[in-house]
Amino acid sequence: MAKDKWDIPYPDEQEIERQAALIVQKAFPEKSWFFKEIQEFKTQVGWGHLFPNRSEIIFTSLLLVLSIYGLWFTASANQTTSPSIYGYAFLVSPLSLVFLIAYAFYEKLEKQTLELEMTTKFTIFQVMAVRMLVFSGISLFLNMTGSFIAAMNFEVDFLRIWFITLTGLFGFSSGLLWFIARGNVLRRSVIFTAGWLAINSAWLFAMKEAYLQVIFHLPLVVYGGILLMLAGLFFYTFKKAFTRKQEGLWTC
Amino acid sequence: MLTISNVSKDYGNFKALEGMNLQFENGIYGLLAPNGAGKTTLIKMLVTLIKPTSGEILYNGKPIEALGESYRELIGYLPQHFGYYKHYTPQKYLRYLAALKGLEKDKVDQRIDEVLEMVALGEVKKKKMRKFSGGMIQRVGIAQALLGDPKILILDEPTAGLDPKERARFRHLLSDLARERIILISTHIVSDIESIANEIIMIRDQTLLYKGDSAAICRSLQGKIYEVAMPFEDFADFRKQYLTLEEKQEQGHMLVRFYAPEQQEAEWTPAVPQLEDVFLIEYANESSVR
Repeated sequence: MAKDKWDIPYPDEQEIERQAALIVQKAFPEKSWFFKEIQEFKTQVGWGHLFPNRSEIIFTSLLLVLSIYGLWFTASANQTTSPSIYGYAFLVSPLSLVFLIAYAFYEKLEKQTLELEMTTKFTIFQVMAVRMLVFSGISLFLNMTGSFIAAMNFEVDFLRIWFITLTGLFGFSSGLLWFIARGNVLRRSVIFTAGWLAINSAWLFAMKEAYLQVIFHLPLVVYGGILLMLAGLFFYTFKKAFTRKQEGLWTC
Repeated sequence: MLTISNVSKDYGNFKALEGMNLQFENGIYGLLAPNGAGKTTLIKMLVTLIKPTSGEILYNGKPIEALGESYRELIGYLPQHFGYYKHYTPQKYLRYLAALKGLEKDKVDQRIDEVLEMVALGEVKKKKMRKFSGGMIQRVGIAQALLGDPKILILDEPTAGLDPKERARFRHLLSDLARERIILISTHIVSDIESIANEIIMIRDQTLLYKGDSAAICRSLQGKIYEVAMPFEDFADFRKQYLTLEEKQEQGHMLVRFYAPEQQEAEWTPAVPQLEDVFLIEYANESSVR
């Protein structure tokens, strides 16, 4: 039997390197790193696709105008350096975030897109957590603008009121992310939000003096420390929510 | 291979599915059952939306829950109620879903064009969906399910809203796609799957009633389906005695196709059993079929 002659072309350097890299990658799979996952999410999904609904943008703009007007009105009503305005600012600072999240969720249910979105590669928790990050940024901007306007027009310490609103915002965001990292998302979100508002309102109105004294007289350095801790807690809970598995969470 | 191993699903005291065992390899599977029989529950479990109360679902021997995103990457899913953003164009909506599905960015636009051509929506890819008919929206839904070139394609009532021409096109499309993937179509429109499904799965009372090819299930009715012509006035009584499958008014009489499992009269003509007959007979007591 005649010997077959095989003609196998020798691969070029580029091909050899590519194949070697492929073997190494398969043999030593890269360990998943949290910030890399977020980076991958951002690269793959992009900010634009995080907000598929135009009405959310309209709603956010409307909220911006209303928040500024609301703070202006509150400050006008108080007229003085009354500590009430600080207590009020702490209580309402996460509300813009609550409205933004609730509205986005309502839109998904109403448009019936959630079921499909829950079967894609990226989980709803990844989308939800990154959206919360963006919403927190928007809320931070809303709070800063409101604080600035209040400080410009009334006898209000800008740094103090801004720190107070940020403490409220990060405290609320961390708590909410912690709550949605397990169990029924909708039920737990409602319970946490209602609890936040009820407890803080009760403190503000029942133990007004003591509550306001704490908020009003706490040194800025302490606020700074609390803020740093809350920022750390925010990223910890963010990671918890971002990496949550979604299998089996649909409720019929 | 996708395996459903002794899967049950309870909602409190209500059993939505019980002791289900199924295996899927590449090919088309038609899931036939009346409303409320448990087919949507089964589908929602296959796409990981809900978890079984007991038993497990395996893909190539591994539980799908443990596979997580690597399993979801393999799925193309059309829900019964396909949601969309009205102000989006099909192209934009598919880009959005492609991003969530984690498709390679530089190949997305080409793939979108391909799938929109498959469902004959290429020409309207830049038109807002708010102006689309129900059939067009359904075709966008089918296109998005095909977007990631899925290994497992699960379609819940895919032909709802499609006209006969679109349904025929859809059947051709699925036949072409079936060689390389598992396709599961849930429907109660028998004609949608009769000619294309490799296997028919029937569920009744939350349990598996039958799994096999449609010819075999039809053979089981051989010699039990008949046709007879009768005067109009006899029809009411006849209907009380036999399960009628088709009734047609003809010149001066009724032509009736019916099920008679035990006896045969001389004037009856034996008929070839169809899958539709099986469906009507098996689910004769279901209110949604009667």
